[in-house]
Amino acid sequence: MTIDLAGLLAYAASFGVLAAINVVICLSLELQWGRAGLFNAGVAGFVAVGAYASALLTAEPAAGHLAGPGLPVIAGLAAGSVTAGALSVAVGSLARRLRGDYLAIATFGAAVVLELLLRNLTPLTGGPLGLAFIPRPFAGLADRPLAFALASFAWVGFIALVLYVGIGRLVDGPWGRTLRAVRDDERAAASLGKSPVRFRLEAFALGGALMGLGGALKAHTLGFIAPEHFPPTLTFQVWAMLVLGGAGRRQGAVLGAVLVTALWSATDLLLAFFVPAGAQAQLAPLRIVVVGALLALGLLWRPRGLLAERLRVSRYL
Amino acid sequence: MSVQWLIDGAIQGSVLALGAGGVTLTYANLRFGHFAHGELVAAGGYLALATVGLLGGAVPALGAALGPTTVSGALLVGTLVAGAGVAALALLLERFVYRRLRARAAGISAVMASFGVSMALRALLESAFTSSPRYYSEELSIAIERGGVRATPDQLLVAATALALLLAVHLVLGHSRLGRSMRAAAENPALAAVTGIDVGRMAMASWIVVGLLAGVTGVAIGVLGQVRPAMGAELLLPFFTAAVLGGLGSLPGALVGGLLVGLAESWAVATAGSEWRGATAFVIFVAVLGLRPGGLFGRPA
Amino acid sequence: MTALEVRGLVAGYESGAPAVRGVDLVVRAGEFVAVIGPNGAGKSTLVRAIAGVVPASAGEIRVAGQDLGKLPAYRRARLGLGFVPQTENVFAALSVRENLVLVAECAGRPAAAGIEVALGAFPELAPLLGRPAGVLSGGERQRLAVARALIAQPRVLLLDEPSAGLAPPVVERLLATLRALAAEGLAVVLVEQNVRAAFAVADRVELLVAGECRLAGSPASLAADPAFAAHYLGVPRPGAPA
Ligand SMILES: Nc1ncnc2c1ncn2[C@@H]1O[C@H](COP(=O)(O)OP(=O)(O)OP(=O)(O)O)[C@@H](O)[C@H]1O
Ligand SMILES: [Mg+2]
Repeated sequence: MTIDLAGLLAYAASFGVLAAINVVICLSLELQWGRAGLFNAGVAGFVAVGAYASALLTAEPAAGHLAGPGLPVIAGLAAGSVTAGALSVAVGSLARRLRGDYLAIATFGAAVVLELLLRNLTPLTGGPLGLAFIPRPFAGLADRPLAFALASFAWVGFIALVLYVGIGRLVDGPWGRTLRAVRDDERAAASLGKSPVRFRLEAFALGGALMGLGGALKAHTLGFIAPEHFPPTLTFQVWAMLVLGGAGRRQGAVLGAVLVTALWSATDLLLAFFVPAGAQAQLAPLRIVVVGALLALGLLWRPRGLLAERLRVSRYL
Repeated sequence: MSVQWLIDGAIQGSVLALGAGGVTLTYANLRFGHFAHGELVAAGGYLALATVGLLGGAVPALGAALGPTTVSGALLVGTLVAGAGVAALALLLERFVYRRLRARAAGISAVMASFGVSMALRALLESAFTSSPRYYSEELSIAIERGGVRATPDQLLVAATALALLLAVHLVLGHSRLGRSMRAAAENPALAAVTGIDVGRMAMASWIVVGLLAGVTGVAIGVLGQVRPAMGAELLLPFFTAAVLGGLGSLPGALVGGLLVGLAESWAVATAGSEWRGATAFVIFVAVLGLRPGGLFGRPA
Repeated sequence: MTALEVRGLVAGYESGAPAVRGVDLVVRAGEFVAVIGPNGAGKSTLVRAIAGVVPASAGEIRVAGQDLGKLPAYRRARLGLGFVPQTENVFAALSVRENLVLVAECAGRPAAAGIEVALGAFPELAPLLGRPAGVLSGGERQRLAVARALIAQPRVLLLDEPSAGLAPPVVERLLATLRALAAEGLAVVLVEQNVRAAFAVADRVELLVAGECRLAGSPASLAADPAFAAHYLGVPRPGAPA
């Protein structure tokens, strides 16, 4: 095995793309859970909706099984976010007070039904085969792997960075303070005239929209999507990222996303290089066991994550 | 339209009721939504399968089907093994994962952990048994026909067992010292403790009952269909829906909820096609949340 | 004979400084001790820590000479330590009857005997037996809570403001019942806001302030202490403006 510097760099860049997308998704869950205390057990569903919405709107009319309007990718990203955000409002309003186990079941159920729709509404979603020919920015570079990987990393990473900064502004501003107050002491916040339900729903919708954006990014970097890109294990990985990194802090979400993505890629490489092909199918599920064990251990031994939320006393409430 | 869907729905519903009973009991006594219940069910399915494999080979007499059913003596032993084994598994999970998380103020961390446990257990099952379906018996259960509707002896046996088991658990928990202590410990652990109740043991007792129900649920699903790692996870949404429909925490509620969800699914399959079975439960769940969030038998939340 | 012996008890909650800082409390069998003090003094924390609901970080707790300090709350209850919490002191989802039967069973007594003890102390509970305890009025609930504790026949009974919300005649009867039980050998520790009521029944009064015992003695001796009397009994200090 010769060490090929360009290949290694391309690998690093495509890892970066993956990590940046996971950072976006994990930041959105951080918003929902870390800031608003809302449990989302259907992350994969919201991500998938964003991906499919964006893919459908940006695909070329000539792409075959679906007659897309061929909108620019940026419009697709926006549409993906809006669709997933609207879905979040719908699901969030179901569990009216957005509390506890009912929200967990509602989001879990929504994801189950979404997967069912993706698999069965074949004319729209391509069924189990999914959608292909999704436009990828910088696709012209596709025959030069290194340049393409770097370009992809640049634009996806840029979006992740913008979100990181933007969410920071938001949660440190008045809206974020109110949200924290609502999360920590609903009754006190309500008595000050803040409607807890409205703030929670806003946080849930914004988080859902950003999950959709993450899905759209996935669609436009892969170029094709299918239901198996959004399995329930995705939900679980994102949770592991957030719990390990530490909810209540954006840095925690980023750290967790990068760590779990790295762990996932590393186990992927280990499987590919060191395990005979026959045994791979049997060992592949064990990666999930490793992440599951990490999640449980994290919850037990470091419940606030590697980077715990700084306690602060609000001056305003 | 023939009324066959009613029979099919009631049979499927009794299995859902069994699963919902486990979910609702976990909720009532251990105070959290247990997302790994589906994997407890699947573990039961595989434990019985392993027992049938071992016993059926070693003792040919046990391998033979009983009466008109395809259920063998080995599978009856397997059902006991499944109940006991899953109860043991649930106790392990309580000891090493849930016990400390349940005590936390942010109760949802137990839910989150159960999500991880669910994924990990299913992956372990897949790794050990692959995801291809297995069966308890090669034989076919021949349907009995009465007045234009059909049911197999297996189906009738499963439905009767499910209902009997739920009823038994309900009676025992409703009218025994153990059941009272369990409810007391669930409602107010501190007061239970100063009353002299060992709250930790009550949690363990609850897990044993939940494990027993889950193990038998797995066997029931396996007898009527296939044994697969996802056999329980696929039904988790109907389980939860049935439990919420009946009123979280109520065993009779789980029974009625399970039957109603089973009937609704069966009706949806008969009218809209089998691919929409999975969406039925969610529609019902949405309706319950909108119309009667406390469920049919629950106290309003 | 010493029924309850607490030495150097330090206890509190995760957040902040301990609410009880080195309290000694010795109660003989048959003795009736009232614990008084301002709100937030640590009275509830003291009895909770003795009962084992709040962990103690230092100190000893002995009942009839046996060290219970390391035992979980349910073992202490079974070894003769009864406790009526200030709030949430009945099982709301269980019926009144079940509430009573449960204690009897835990104490190894027949259910009927338990109900008999409860109705003996509070006959007005009889028509309520079938109701869920959660729907009882505040006063009915307090009576059920005290009745529950009596059924177990403890050696030591800790009560955290059981008279809160009860009408004066009921309070009087409750205190008389406790007094009678003390006369039969029960050691009673009563946390009470109503200082006059406490003085009327107690053999000894302990004043708890900021987690420490500031004063202790017979009601008569405390009433004779001018500072105490001015502060807690509303007796005007000599020379103070009326
Ligand atoms: N669960 C708790 N968690 C944290 N701090 C607590 C808790 N319960 C009480 N405290 C604090 O401990 C201190 C003592 O409280 P405690 O309830 O023992 O007072 P108390 O003397 O019983 O008051 P009251 O007369 O109002 O019942 C107070 O400062 C209170 O704020
Ligand atoms: Mg108090």
